Amino acid sequence: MLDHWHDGYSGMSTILKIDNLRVEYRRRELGQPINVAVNGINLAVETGEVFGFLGPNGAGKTTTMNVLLGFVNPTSGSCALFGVDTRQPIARQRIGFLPELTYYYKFLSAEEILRFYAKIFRIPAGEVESRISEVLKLVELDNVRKRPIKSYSKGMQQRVGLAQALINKPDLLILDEPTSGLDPVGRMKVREIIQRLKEEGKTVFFSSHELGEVETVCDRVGIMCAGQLKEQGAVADLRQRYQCDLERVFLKVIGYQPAHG
Amino acid sequence: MNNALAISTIVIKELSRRKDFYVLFIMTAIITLLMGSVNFFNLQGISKYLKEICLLLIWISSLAIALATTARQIPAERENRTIFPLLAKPVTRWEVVVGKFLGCWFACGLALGLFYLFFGALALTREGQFQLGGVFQAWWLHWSMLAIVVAMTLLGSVVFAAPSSNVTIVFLGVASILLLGRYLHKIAVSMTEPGQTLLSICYFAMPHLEFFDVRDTLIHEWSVPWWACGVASLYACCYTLFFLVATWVVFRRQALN
Amino acid sequence: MNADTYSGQHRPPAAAGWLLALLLAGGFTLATSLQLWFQNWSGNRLNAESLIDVLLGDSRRLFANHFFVEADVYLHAGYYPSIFDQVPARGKLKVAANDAHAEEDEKEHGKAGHEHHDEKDDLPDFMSTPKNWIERFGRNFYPTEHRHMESKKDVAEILPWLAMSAKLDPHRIETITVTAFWLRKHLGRVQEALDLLRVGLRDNPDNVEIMYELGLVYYDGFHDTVRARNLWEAALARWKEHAAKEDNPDRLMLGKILTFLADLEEKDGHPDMVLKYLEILKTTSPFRDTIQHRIDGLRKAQAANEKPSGSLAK
Ligand SMILES: Nc1ncnc2c1ncn2[C@@H]1O[C@H](COP(=O)(O)OP(=O)(O)OP(=O)(O)O)[C@@H](O)[C@H]1O
Ligand SMILES: [Mg+2]
Repeated sequence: MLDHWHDGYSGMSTILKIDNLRVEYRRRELGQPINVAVNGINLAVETGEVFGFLGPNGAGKTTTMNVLLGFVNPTSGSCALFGVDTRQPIARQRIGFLPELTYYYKFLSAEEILRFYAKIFRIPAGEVESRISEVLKLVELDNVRKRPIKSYSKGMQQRVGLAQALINKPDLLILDEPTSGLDPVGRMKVREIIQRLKEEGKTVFFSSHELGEVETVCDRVGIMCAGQLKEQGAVADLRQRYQCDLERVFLKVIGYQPAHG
Repeated sequence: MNNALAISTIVIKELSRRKDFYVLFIMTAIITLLMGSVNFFNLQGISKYLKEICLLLIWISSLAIALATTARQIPAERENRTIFPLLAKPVTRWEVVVGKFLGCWFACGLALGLFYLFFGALALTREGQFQLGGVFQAWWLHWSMLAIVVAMTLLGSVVFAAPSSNVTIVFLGVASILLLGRYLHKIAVSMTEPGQTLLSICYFAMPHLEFFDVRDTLIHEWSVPWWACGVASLYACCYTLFFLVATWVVFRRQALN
Repeated sequence: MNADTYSGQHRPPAAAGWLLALLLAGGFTLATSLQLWFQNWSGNRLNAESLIDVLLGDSRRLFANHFFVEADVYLHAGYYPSIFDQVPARGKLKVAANDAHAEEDEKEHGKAGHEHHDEKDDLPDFMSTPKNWIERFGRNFYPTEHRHMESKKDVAEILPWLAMSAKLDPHRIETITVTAFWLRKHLGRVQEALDLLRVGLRDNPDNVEIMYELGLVYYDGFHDTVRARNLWEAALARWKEHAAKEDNPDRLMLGKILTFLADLEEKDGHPDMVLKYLEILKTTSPFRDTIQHRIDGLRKAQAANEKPSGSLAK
């Protein structure tokens, strides 16, 4: 079914679709107001696009991604990946996901953890080792692949996260702040990886606070604020419309008034 | 099933890299050997008391291992956020529950096997004979019982917030079933009305873990019929399945953050 | 303002100093008073032999009791109906180890001393019929048949429990006497029985049961009638002392002592003493007729002996 979907629409087609999504967090204490993290957003990402998901802290980006991956249930509305409702696990066969804060089984080595995920993706046994070497080389962890993850630095752990997101050669990557915690070179690397994936025709949906980086790699961006999608469109379009760079656009959209002038 | 097995291997790997099991095993061995070296009135060839002590230690250790390892599984995944990359793969929550269960249960079975091997060796050196059938039955029944305990703990771990409260509650439950389960309906008879009905309901609803405790038959060389072992295994299977499904029902719609 | 901040800066250390001093003083008083309280509370436990005894505290007695029961269970090959199974039979099961005692008394002098006899086989061979399928099925997994373990090896298996029980609670008389009984009677370990009873008597001076059992060890194990008689006579004297103070003295014990003393004197040819003991026994024993019968027999023999006594005595 998935193959059919993918092959049939290998041109421009909607790979990620969010319909009227609303997510409420209920407080445990009675009588407290409910907390609306996402308030009715609509979004579609086309195949082959790199989509930057922007917004200030607490805007609801992570929550939206959690719904896309089935961690959190929408209060109303729905999401679909490859046309399959996200509540079904099969929707996650062809995606790679990098969580906001990455922690992995610390007692395993990078190699073991990738082998474990490879098993879950049912990657053929003959292919597993070459695939692991490939992604580890990509994120430059090849030389420490046998060390337990607890001995890694924060940035190295972040790269393990990236490696596991790529192990199944996903068609859609969902990355929650992939460059946080990385050094400038590491960031550059991630940008290169995203660029390369784009060239391979993969779709990338990622959130970030690095507007410069977003500007260089993204085709389109969406700007969220207080649970609502305030603005979306091609980067060039937005720049044109607002007559300024992306950072200014962002500040304007979220309604930030500079203290002086 | 493939996914569940993959998850279970991770659990086993984790347990094999932790120290608790080795500590408990060495403690059991040392205490048993110490007790074995005590001289009672210069009498030779006494062995039953040693078997009793060894089995008691095995039971306590096995419960400790089963509870401590299972209770942490899902909470630790959530706390360390390892559940996110895992569930972002095409894995259902039922597979996570079953995988965690299988991992803990297999690990307990392996550990238990080692304990019973030690017990067998002890009996062999003391009595010059190895009750292969009896020891196997005891191990098998013990392991079947641990399936129920592990599944129960798994359910507790998605219901209760803290693993420590889960361990305490499950341990108290298991201990009281083992000690009192056999007599609950008789105690009920001597009670006044609301208590009587409640206790009777408990008696018929709860998993009778004391079935699986064949220490007395093993020590005193009685035999347990094999058909009874088979029925007991099925009984354990039913309760395990029930607890696993209950775990899944709770865990299925739980928001993870 | 400046002075204020200055003093303000210095106030906390001063306060902390005071607080520390107060805490120290409080802690010290608490420690000394606790020490006193602990001494009061622990009583003679402070001079307990081993640290373990102090640490285990009163749970020792609980465990001692448990181990004694365990020994009894072993004697029945693991069969042990709980209080919930056999409410009436339970008290009797506990003395099952003593049943054998009664048995012995019976064998040795089949006349009196078998007050225990009636209880001996009150224990049902099977448990009551199960009430439901859980109970019925559950019986496959534990011993449910009443079986007596009488072989030397089986008896030896109970001794570790008895030894541990005696070790944990040296004032548990029953443990000591029962252990000595099995050692002497079934395992032929008279020396070990003697050692155990001596330690027991040291821990429980003037204890009638231990003296009686010690007498038995000398009499039966070492064939030392002199010591046996001394011990039993001492036991009799102690019994009388205790009986004067107690409401409900142990007449069973008295009966046993008197029976053995009477037997001893009969063997040594002191009919007067025999008669004296039997007369006391008659007042306490439920088997008055049997004893009266024996007394009459003795009197008759004495009367018959009286006439040719001059020729026989010399
Ligand atoms: N488990 C939760 N319970 C209650 N409220 C929550 C929970 N998780 C998130 N929220 C709330 O939902 C809103 C959106 O949070 P979210 O994590 O999606 O923000 P974000 O856009 O990812 O922010 P950041 O840039 O800091 O990562 C916030 O107001 C947050 O307080
Ligand atoms: Mg976030």
